[in-house]
Amino acid sequence: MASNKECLIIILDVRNSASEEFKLKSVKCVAEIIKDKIVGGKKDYVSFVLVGCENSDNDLYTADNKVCQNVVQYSNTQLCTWQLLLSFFKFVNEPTCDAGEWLDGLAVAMAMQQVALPLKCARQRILLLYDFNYMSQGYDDYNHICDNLLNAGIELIVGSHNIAYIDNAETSLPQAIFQSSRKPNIHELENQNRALQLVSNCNAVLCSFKETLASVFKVSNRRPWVWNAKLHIGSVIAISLQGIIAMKAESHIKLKKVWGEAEELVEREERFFIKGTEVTPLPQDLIDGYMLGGTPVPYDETLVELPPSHAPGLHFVGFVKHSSIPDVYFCGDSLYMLVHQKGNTTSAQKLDALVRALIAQKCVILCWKIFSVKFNTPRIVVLIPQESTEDRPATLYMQELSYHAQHQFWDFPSLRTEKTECNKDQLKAVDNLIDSMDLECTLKDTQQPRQRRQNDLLPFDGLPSIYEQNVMDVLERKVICRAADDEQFQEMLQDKNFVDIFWRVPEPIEEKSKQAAAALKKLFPLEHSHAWLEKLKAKEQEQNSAPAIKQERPDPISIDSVGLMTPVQDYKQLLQNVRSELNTTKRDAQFQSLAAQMRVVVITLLERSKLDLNQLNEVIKLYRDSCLEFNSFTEYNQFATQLKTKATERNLQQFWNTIVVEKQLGPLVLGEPTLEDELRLKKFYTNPEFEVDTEMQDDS
Amino acid sequence: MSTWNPDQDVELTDSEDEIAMKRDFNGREAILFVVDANLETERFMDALKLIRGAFISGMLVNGKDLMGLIFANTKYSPPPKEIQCLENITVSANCAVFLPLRQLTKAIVEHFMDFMQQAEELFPKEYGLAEPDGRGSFAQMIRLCIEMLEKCGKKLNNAKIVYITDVEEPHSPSSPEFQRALQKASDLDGKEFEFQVIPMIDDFDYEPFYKEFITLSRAIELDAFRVPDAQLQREILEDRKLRQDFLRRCLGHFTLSLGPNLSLSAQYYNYFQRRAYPQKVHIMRRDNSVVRKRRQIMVRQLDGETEEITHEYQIKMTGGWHECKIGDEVIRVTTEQLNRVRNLHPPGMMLLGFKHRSALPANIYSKPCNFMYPDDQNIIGSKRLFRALWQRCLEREKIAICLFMCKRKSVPRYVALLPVEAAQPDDKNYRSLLSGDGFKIVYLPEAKHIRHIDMCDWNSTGNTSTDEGVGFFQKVIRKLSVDYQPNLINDPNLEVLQSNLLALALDFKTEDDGLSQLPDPAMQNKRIEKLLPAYETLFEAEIEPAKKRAASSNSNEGSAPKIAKIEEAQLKSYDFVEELIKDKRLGACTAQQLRYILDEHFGVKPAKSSTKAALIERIESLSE
Repeated sequence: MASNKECLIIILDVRNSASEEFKLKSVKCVAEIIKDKIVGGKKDYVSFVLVGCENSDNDLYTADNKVCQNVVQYSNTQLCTWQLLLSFFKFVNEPTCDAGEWLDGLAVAMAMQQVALPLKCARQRILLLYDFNYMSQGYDDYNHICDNLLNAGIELIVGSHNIAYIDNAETSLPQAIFQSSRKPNIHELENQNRALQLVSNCNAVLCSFKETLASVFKVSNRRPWVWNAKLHIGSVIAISLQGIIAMKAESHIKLKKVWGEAEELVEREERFFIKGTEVTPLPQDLIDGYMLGGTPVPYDETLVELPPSHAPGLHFVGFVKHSSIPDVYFCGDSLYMLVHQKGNTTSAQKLDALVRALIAQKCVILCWKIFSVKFNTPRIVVLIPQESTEDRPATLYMQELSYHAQHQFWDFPSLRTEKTECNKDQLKAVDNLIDSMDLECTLKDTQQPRQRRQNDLLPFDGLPSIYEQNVMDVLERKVICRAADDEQFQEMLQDKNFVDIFWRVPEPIEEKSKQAAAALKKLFPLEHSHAWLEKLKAKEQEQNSAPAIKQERPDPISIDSVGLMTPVQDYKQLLQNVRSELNTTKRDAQFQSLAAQMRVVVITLLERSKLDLNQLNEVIKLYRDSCLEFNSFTEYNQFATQLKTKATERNLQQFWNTIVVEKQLGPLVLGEPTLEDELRLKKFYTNPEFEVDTEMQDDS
Repeated sequence: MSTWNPDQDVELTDSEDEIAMKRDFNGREAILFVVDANLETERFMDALKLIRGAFISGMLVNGKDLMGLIFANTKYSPPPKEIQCLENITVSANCAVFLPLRQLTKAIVEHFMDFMQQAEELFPKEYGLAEPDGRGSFAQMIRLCIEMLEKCGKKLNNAKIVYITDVEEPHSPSSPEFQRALQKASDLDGKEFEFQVIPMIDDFDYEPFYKEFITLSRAIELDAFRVPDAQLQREILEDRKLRQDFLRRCLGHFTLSLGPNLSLSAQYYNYFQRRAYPQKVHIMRRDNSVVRKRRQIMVRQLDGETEEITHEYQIKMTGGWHECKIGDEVIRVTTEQLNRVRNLHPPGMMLLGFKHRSALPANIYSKPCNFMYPDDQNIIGSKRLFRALWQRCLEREKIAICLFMCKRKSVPRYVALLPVEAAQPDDKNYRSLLSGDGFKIVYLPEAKHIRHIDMCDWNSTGNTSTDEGVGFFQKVIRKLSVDYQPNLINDPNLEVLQSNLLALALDFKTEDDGLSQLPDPAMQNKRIEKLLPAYETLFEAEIEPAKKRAASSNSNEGSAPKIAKIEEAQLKSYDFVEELIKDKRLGACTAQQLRYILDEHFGVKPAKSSTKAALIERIESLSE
């Protein structure tokens, strides 16, 4: 994802007077930020400042011992790692005291941002987590610091625990306020006022803890990745556009995947199989093709003329009524927004005119999208108009459509039947459930301060990634506890806190919804079907009991043949089968076919670039013995000659000397060897003519 | 998978739906066509054409499906081409098996097409019409179908009997045959075989027989039966599509929890399948045997000195582990452990609350929608509660917001349930095929999936068009408006491929007009001919903004390779390299140079995908 890196300095309030709950929450908040950055593989820099320490240790204090007392800064500004998270947990436990001022913390943080400038971060932000309580604070530098923040372009987010939201009476936009159960003292009032004024003085964002994380994570991007394309209508009308990803379902978890130990060599190889038997075809032996039912059809450019590639861009098909496009046919994993080419006023005007005309006619555009010359498959897309607003020009949303060939047509019986007819009481109970679980309205009626910025218990733009959150939490635990083995891991997961926070109705409506559901339950008889449970059980048993007979096997021969992975075991097993055959003619025939397979395996193994000599030794020896057993002398002797030729061809000196000669795997001799036999064997075991200077190759 | 990078593998792709689909296709789909001999010649030939279409598209789209063909109500029962396939099957009287259930091959389709050529003459002679009134026993025909499906030798996942006829009443309601036929309908339900009737006439009356037969065979209430449109049925059959029985083909069953101890059971469906291309294979030139290519990850242990392989093993894609680094310490997370994190919660759907329909933004997208329908099999009474909820949401324009985890090990997602209604019976367009009564499941994007873009660089007061410009485009829209007909839109590349394959294999020429090509801009020009002069006066010619960097026209300039900070020649000396390692200055080398160092001094050829950081790490570890 295109995101520009940032430098984030977090200021934490550790004064003795700050409430314990506040401190816990702020540490948790920081941990969440660090975790997110680690797991997401972000290249952002982070550092911390503590306000309210016994010691004073920061750059400003070092320069002038009179300023910024009781403020401690973290030793360096760095990328997020698990080590940083652990160090942070240690760092916040610095000895604390009562003194400490948040403006000093801000000054130190700003100085740190200054130092971090060479890191070339596109965005500089400061997060201030502070309990604006009854302790008096100095505000001499207030205006000065606010101006500096504004001038340096540093964004400030302020998080505190007693903040709530109300709608502004004039603008009806949400606004943060301080909320407390008792009357605040004069200092508290001043502190809170100063904090509130930050919003207008330096565009700070003031939020409750819940919203703090959302504010930190919500980063807008000024220079997103764009897809440049032209929309052609006919050949005359053309509009230069840029496609920007507006939404994309993707995983943000980046973990390093490892396949082998450090000293092991991991390689990805392609292997070829005919009916489960491995073969090593030469590239020229193979031709590309497709399956047409059960028939393979060769298909490449020598047989058919492939159509020329399409020109990249958006090729207009027609204007269609928006209502005629079913949104259930939308496919793909992302939603693009098309905007005019940056800086191209003419295309901006054309797009604006087109969008307004489309909206007036209630139409959308159907067109083919060709992404690039390389990704040339046409995709049918709809372009949905969006009128310009204050902060964005006229745009088109681009949504991919599925093809007719993919569509499914179902036959669903009507729901409105006599059997499902409900009486008045039942419908009333359902209405009651709907009303008591309303996520919006219950709040709208009252002007009570609320916890979330939006007047919604579950805003659509703030839905958490449950799985990612779980992974992060589990990893954090794992790192903290160093839980290596499986048992500890299991214990950790048992701690249900991970999940259950998501699987519950939002708290404000929880009680009411329970009551409504209970009322509903009384009116609608529901019963678990025994037949269904039996069926499930039977299915489970079927799956558990007979995993061996996995219905049709894709390649029945694959089990009946010698594979390359474990040729020795395979051959031994299959040989056993052959031995059990009583009919001698059949047995010999079976042996011959098995032997043929084995020869192919040996030759294939010999063709590998790196030979496994032990395996070759075992395999050849096994095969040789079996030939002795089944009286198959001629075949083996022919094969031995083949081995010799292969060894010569591929210059396999080491193989020849250490396996064939040393282990005496040459031709078989029936009974006592005659002189003729011995001469023959001697001739066989003499070294073939290897190329002289390439001994190295064989070893490598 | 050219992007495979062992150093950073984002393994958590959300592929559980694909897994679900795969499981769904565990076992084959079978379609057994039954053609009524009562069809007059023209209709009979039309029926055969339909089947040919279904055979061909079946071969192209889902090559593994089994298909078969029976003629019903015939006088004679001539055996099929392969007689031995009927060894353990008793063919009923007045029925003839033309093709037992088989995976289609070139030969079978050719045989069928040969038969079609002569069917007009041969059929009356060789098969004839059952005497006296062309009414063979319906029950016997169904028995034969069931037997053939059961003895086809493959595990079936979804079996359908498709009966093509124009007779509305195979037996009179008072006859014992009628009762026997209905008996068979219950058998079909028990065996989970689906029965469909495809009428060859448009105003087909289902009342006398088929309504009762079909509702019985699907175990639904009589008043839930919706009369399908005959013409549409035929059209979609030719594409080898059928309106599918809701019971058999769902993606999964789950329970929707409405509160403590209050759950109903439901199932969910997809509106479209994954894009299916014909399966690509490698073929041996000499004997046309199919060669399958498999990618394997091999791990080898090398002997430190001789570089010989001492141990070698294969690892599955799901093998290996993830690493987290804490300083120098490495913590491993196995795939199995991550799977357990996926499995923290049992699957199911949970109601979180309701919102007004208007709260759902128009352009919100995360993944394709699904459809949800109640399931009375698991929790009896679900259907009524579901209906009540659905009806009130529909009437009050409400949507339900839920958390949904569809399967074990899947990712929990927030969804909005939108009540949707089946089309009216007189609605005959393709849209009417979309769904029935139920909820549409709209997947909501997570906060992290929504990108926030600051458009300030695009905003300008000059962006607004004049009203004349808007008027111009309104006229263009009127001239170039079309109706959206999904059946005319197909993947052009796929169509070309398919027609080529058919031409190569069967010598079968696809009509050219069926191929949807990219539209011809000249045609569009012509329709807006009169408007075009205004275009040039209304809008200035587009001036492309100056590019910041010149595109690389040749390799010498433009994006020239990075200029190395360290000279190539120096790297040949190991002493120099050692110094670099000691001073931690390897970062100054280009990735190319690092590869050179690895190759030259350590004899290691790193993977092409290795990043610079990984290369440096490797060199440092090797030099220790």
